[in-house]
Amino acid sequence: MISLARKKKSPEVEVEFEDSSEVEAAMDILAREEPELKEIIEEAEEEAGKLTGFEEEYYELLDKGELWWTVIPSKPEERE
Amino acid sequence: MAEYSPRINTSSRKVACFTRRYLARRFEYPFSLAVSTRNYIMLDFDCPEDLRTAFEEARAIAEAFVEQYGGQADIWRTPHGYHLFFKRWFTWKEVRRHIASLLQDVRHGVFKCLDERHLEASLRRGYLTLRLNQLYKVAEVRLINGGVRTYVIRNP
Repeated sequence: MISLARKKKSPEVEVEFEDSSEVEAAMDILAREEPELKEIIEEAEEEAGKLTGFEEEYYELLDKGELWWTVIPSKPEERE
Repeated sequence: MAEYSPRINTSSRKVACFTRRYLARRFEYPFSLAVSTRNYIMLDFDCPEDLRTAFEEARAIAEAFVEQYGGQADIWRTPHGYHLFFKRWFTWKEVRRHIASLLQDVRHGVFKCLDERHLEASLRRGYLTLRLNQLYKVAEVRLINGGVRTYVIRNP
């Protein structure tokens, strides 16, 4: 499902992956064919295995689907 | 800064981590991981110049929720204040009602550090989101033998 929300002050493009298993399968295929993507996926898998803190505390809720992950741009002060 | 701000929602940790890294490389600026929900109350207190007030507001709201509903609320330190996570399942209709009520309190000056823009954005999007960077838990609020207790884990 893809939805677009455009506001004058804070325009956003929102993309929602409904079936993560399909996305993961597609990533596996891409990783085999694209060296750059393979590198990113390896780094991401390593990061996913090392997450600690808030997300670790709520793994169970994330697994139940009552929480989900969102990727958003960092705030300007976090980009330096 | 990109013309549009992308938000990617996924239930997969692996997909989230990949997406964050891919977008950072593509746009050449960092992206944050966050968690989102329609079923739990997650609040942001953003007041780096007055952390004491921010913590007291988080604590007061946590204690009020725990007193009313039971369960547990956690308070997390963030780079600019605190996050409050109340671990009791609600329908989005209930969450929305609480968010709207808190927003009125902020607008009437009851709370100084509770992030008004976060509340407004949550109502606009239909779900709550909190960033996950540099967090550590500082307090847990629970109902013990009919009384609300706040356990401070680390110096807030």
